[in-house]
Amino acid sequence: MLARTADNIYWVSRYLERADFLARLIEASNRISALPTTYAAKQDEWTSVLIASGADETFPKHFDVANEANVIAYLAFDPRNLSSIRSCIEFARTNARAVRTALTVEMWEHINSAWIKLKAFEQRHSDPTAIDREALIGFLDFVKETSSLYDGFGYRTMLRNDIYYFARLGVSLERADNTARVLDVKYQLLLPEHEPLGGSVDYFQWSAILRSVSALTAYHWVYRESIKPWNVADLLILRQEMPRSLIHCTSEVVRWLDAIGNQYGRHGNAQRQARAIQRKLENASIKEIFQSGLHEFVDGFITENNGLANAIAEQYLLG
Amino acid sequence: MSQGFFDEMTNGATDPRAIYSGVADWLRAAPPEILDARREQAELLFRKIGITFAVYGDKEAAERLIPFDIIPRLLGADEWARLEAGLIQRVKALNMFLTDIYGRQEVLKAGIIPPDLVFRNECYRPEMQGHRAPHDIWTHIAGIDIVRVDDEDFYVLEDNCRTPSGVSYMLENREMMMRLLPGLFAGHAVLPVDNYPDNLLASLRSAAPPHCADDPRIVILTPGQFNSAYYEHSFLADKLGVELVEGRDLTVRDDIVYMKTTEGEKRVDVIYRRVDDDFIDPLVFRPDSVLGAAGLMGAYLAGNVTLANAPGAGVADDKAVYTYMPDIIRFYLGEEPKLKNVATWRCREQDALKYVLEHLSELVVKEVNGSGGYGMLVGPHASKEQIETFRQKLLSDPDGFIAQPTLSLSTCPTSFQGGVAPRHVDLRPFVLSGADGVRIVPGGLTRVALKEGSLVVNSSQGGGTKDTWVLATNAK
Amino acid sequence: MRARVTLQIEVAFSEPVRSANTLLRLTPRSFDSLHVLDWFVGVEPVATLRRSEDGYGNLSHSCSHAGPLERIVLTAEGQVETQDAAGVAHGLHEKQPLDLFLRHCHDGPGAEIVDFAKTINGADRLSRLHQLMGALNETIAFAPTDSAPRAAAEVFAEGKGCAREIAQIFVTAARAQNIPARFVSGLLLDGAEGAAFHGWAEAHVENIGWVAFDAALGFCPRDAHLRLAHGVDYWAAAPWRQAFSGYAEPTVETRLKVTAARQASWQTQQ
Repeated sequence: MLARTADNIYWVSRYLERADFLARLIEASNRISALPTTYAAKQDEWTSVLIASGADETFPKHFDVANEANVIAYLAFDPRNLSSIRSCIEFARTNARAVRTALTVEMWEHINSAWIKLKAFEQRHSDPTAIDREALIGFLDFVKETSSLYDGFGYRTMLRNDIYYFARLGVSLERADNTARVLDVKYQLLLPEHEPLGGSVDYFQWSAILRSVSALTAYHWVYRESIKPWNVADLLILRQEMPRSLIHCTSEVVRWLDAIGNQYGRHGNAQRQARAIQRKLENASIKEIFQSGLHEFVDGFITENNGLANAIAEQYLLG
Repeated sequence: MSQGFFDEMTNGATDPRAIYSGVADWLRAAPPEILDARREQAELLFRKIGITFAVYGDKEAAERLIPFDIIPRLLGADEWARLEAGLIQRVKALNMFLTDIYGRQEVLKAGIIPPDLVFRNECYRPEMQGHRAPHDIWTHIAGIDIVRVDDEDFYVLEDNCRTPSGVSYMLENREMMMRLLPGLFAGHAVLPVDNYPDNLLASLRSAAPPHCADDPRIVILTPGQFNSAYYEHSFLADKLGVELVEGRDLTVRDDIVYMKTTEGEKRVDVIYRRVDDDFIDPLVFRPDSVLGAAGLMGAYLAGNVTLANAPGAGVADDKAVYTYMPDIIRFYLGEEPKLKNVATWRCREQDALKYVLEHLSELVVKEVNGSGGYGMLVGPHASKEQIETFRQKLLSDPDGFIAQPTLSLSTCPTSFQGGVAPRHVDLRPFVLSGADGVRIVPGGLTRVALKEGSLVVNSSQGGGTKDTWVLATNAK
Repeated sequence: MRARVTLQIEVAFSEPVRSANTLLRLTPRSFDSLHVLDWFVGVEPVATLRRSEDGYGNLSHSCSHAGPLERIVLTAEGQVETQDAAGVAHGLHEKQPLDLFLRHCHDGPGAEIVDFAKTINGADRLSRLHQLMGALNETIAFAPTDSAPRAAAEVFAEGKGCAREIAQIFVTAARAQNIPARFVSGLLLDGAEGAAFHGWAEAHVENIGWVAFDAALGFCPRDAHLRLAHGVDYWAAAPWRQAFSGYAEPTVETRLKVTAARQASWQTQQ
């Protein structure tokens, strides 16, 4: 397969996964900001959303105030933000279009119609800062559906060969990065000093974190108790059965990289680096992580995960 | 019915021509709603598969559909046989001409064609001088634009020897017709075109360099997804089962071309390139091009890769060279041309220029190097200002223009919202040349000028397409 | 004059590049007023240099490098003997017809240059060419540089350019006068210029043949112009062209060293 084809396929997955994450992040933050002020977060919710989405550096170039309307407009609809939902869907479609014959008809037609719908939405709402909550919810649902359906079509219709492996690899790698980003921004809330004192305002922050990675229900199934911050961290980092946990995503990355390596009969740097990250997570316990610093741990993971992405690019995607 | 035009269905009579009787019956019987419904269905299907093309300079409609007309255009087996023989003859002559121009230049020595026409043309590539294209094939894929004015003769309007496009529409239109009007299709013995991709693959394989006798690796080189014909490039790559590469996917090392894959570099033997000469190699042609691969020309000249079509082939489809095609055919093949040329005034000649300037309002004036219906004056449809602008252009650069009479292009019935009316059509058959001979599938792309009275069929100027049915039965 | 010439082009990339392809036209070819005694072309890091003759008859070399690559050094050196033939270039290896050199330049002649060419109206072709050379020498300020030439029309409008840019204007204007003209790239051996690479034009005159004109310096090349290659325009005759893949800024340093060699000092019996 052409290196560029693999690159395109991998990035379609990454962009759609990122769009999905952004949609969930906005939804969760929306809930928090809708709470009466007495419950409102200690930290500025919309600024932390900007940080989690990596848009905090470019945002001030275009807006004065980080309020709800501006942040949502910038994260969801702004073409100037290269990681806005809109940009992600557009880039995903551009990448898909470049390799349309490597995708199945269902996948291509789905992503193409999603892009057409996106255009229609933009036409209806020419001023993104004036979008009402109802329209926004509709839009976010559409985004989540877009990425789920693309995944689903891929799962149902693709041949299980390198093309499929690269598509899955993109999803897992991006997902790991996204979960780590949320943890990185909200880590203070998870530190032990935040003991729950019945009805703490932090409760809503924790549930928002879980919501942003769609793990609220999963939490209850796994722990069968009310939300405790260390459990949240444990769930999102070390729980193998949690599909968005760092360890699960990394295991998936290892799995798809191995599949690629086996098909080509050659393993390289990317495989080695992925396994190293996996081992580190397998050997970690939440207690140790808290002892040596949650922030440092997550930070280290983000750096290693980015390094892995570079190794993958070097080994397969740049040719 | 329009006056004075050959209508391919009726030929001016009340009863249709024999081959069109089936279509005429169907048109009479089908309620207008059915036609409308089928047309909408076709558009929906085309949009869904994403058969779009980009129009340069039109940002809003960056991805547009070419309108598709559901009424087929018919040719009899006898008509096709004549046309096919003429196409083979013409493409043979074009290849021989190119071999000669970049070789011994006998045609110039014999005084058949003025040398300055060849050498001052930007499409003549001095870099190719003295080089023999593999198997002496320069234009592996040619699109010859054909028009009719009566039920006898076929005229060549233009030769396209560089990167002619449209073949995906020929194939998709056929699929569409079989899906939308299966009854009508089954009622006619239509010769198939769907072996075109196989023919193309066979032609490209045969043109491979000698080092890869058994299994040449073929790729299609596209400028990328923002090119107007990108759909076609990806369509063909898919049908041929070859990689669709961009310049950045290729690397040239020691005169050998490789493509970058997830499993490392793979040697490439044949490149069906849909990138213009100017852009294929920044070391030899335009230095700012990122669409090609540095060193590609070196690999080509070293004989390590075949480029289809060959660099420099464009000098044969120049509109000024066109006027000499009948003589070129006689010179190389010793035969009379089987297809006619449209009478053409070469504005470089004093007398011709004088005539053209006096008759601008009756003539079609074309830029020698223009394409796609740009830079063209259709006298009878032009405003006074447009004619004046062209007069100035002609006076300042007579060499750059040719003029032709306004052809009475034939018409075919064409369907619109709520009705059917005759519209002007042309035909672009695709001629494949390989080391093992010439291949043509029976058919081609029929383009139709959708505006009433319009003679411009180019898709960039509001033209549409039709499926072309070559029947197993004769027209006469 | 007899000279030993050493030319070095050093390309340094700001970031290592993945690959680079290079085309060189750094090998002079002997003709009546130039005798190449010995000549060598080299590249560092070492790579196969493939020698060929291009469509004009110029000698060219090409090479490719796989990365990561931080710098490339190209070297051309040798000994040549030149003679003053008042610009007349006889005995060249010709592969292209005159008509090619009447072609409009790639970016069109530009209205200003055409208008300018119209003001040249000497009695015969040779005097018109001299007039053109003089006029350009007066109008366009000569500012030597080794960076890639800009389009003729742009340089003409600015009224300032390097030798190669001025040569392009000469070629364009001569063609506008319907005189076959071509671009020549080469080196200046007497070091009068602040750049290693030089460029001039050749125009075709009936009964004489190709005559060289250097509008930047204002005279017909004598024995200090070392001719490397000719072509329909600058790019076709460029002494070197390179493309690389990777995100890097190249910095190019060109060094030219010329040492005049002694004439053969012993005369022998004829």
